[in-house]
Amino acid sequence: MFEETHSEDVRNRKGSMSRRVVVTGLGLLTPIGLDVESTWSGLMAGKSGAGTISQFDATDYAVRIACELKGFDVEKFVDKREARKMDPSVHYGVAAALMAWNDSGLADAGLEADLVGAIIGSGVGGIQTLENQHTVLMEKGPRRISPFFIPMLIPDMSSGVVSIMLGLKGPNFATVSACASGAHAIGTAFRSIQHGDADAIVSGGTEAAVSPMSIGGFASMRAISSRNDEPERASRPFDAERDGFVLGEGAGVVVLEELEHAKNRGAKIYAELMGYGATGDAFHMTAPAPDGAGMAAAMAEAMADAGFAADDVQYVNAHGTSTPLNDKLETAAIKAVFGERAKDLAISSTKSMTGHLLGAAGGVEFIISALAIGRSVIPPTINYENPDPECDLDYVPNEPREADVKNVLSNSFGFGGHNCALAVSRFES
Amino acid sequence: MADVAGKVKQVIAEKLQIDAEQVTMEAMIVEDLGADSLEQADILFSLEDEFGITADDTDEAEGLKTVADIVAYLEKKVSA
Repeated sequence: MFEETHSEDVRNRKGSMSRRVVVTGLGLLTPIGLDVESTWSGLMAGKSGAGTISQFDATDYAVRIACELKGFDVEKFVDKREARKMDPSVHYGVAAALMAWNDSGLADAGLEADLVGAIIGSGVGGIQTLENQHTVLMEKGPRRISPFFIPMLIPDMSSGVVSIMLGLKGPNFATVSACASGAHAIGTAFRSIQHGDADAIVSGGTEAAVSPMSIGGFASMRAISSRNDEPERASRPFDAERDGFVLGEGAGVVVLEELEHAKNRGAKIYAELMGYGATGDAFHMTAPAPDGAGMAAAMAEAMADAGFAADDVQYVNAHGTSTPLNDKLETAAIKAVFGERAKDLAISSTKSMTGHLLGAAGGVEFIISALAIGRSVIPPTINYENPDPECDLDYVPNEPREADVKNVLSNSFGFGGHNCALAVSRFES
Repeated sequence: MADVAGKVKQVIAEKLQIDAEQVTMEAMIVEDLGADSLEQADILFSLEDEFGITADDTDEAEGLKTVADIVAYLEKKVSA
């Protein structure tokens, strides 16, 4: 029906976009740590964030495990009166955004509000609120539905609240592409800054989907691991015994900023965002296309956009969900893109530790990719024990690895056949 | 009916996360206590629940400005 496009065509599009985009603030809230440093320590220690679900009684559920946040206190970020009008997914997104904003120092930079945006994605939005309010509807009738229900439900509210709290009047919306939502948010923010729509954008993903309907629904799909007796060993990407992902919650948000703007104010620069690739599978609602063709196309596009050759890349932060299909096809896609180079690449899935944060995953893993560059250490894939003949690359098993990391690809793929790859580099002026 | 006033003050204080002492009978819900339109609706629905009434006379319910107005309205509804 359509002609196949080639990465060369994508490369030719470049050039009109000369504005460079760097990362100047980081905010993380994950099941292994409530900020960047504690999360990084967890990654270095090979810590699993998984455990038996505590937020609701999951006794009767086929899957009773998840990666939950531990000890998060929203009132450190938002006052009590406002917090009770927001879904947990907004609490997490706003907390990570405020951490990134404070880290960037942009508050003191005399920015033009019109040129600062917020683009924070979420896969499902306020599902906990939806479930609670549906119970209210069934038990008390429609007049008792909270006036805050709709603003708590809609997945764009983190972006909205961040703009209200920080006074940001530039581009403001959410991206929704299931498990690629956070990565698409960052890719879209990248393009907006390149194009001149904004000088800085607070961008990433958030998710709070450890809920009865969500756990039950993913369990019905057989998408999540039922290793209920060994939660810490359940997320095992690329291992032959993997049986699904472990649902996680939290947020990962960065401040992206135009390079000259960052330099002029003497900002600390973590990394440069070099390329963005986004493709669609045109195949199936939930299964990836055969051979990981759509995944490979997104990676190739991001690399072409960044100007990377195969040999330039040292590390791939894989989508690596720990589902049988994703890890096999992502491996095939990496081989298709990198050829001979694939076996020399370091590939890891940090979902082995954080669990799968759905719409937040792309934000979290983009930050981990930037940190791997800055700290010259590649986080491991934990629980890697049994080689799978269809996953035969170097997954940095079980122990972090020191390495001179200059260029990284961060992959995110979502139900619906949404594929996204971000190319990140060490900043060199 | 002191219990109506006490209950109303308690609900308003809880919904707006303010000290009960701030919720005087003369306090205006919007001007003094800072409630927005959604918070006003939230307070009204909670009071409906609390007192087992339905504020279906919308014009009258929406015209309530002060804590005393709300208390008077509820006392009338409850005894009706």
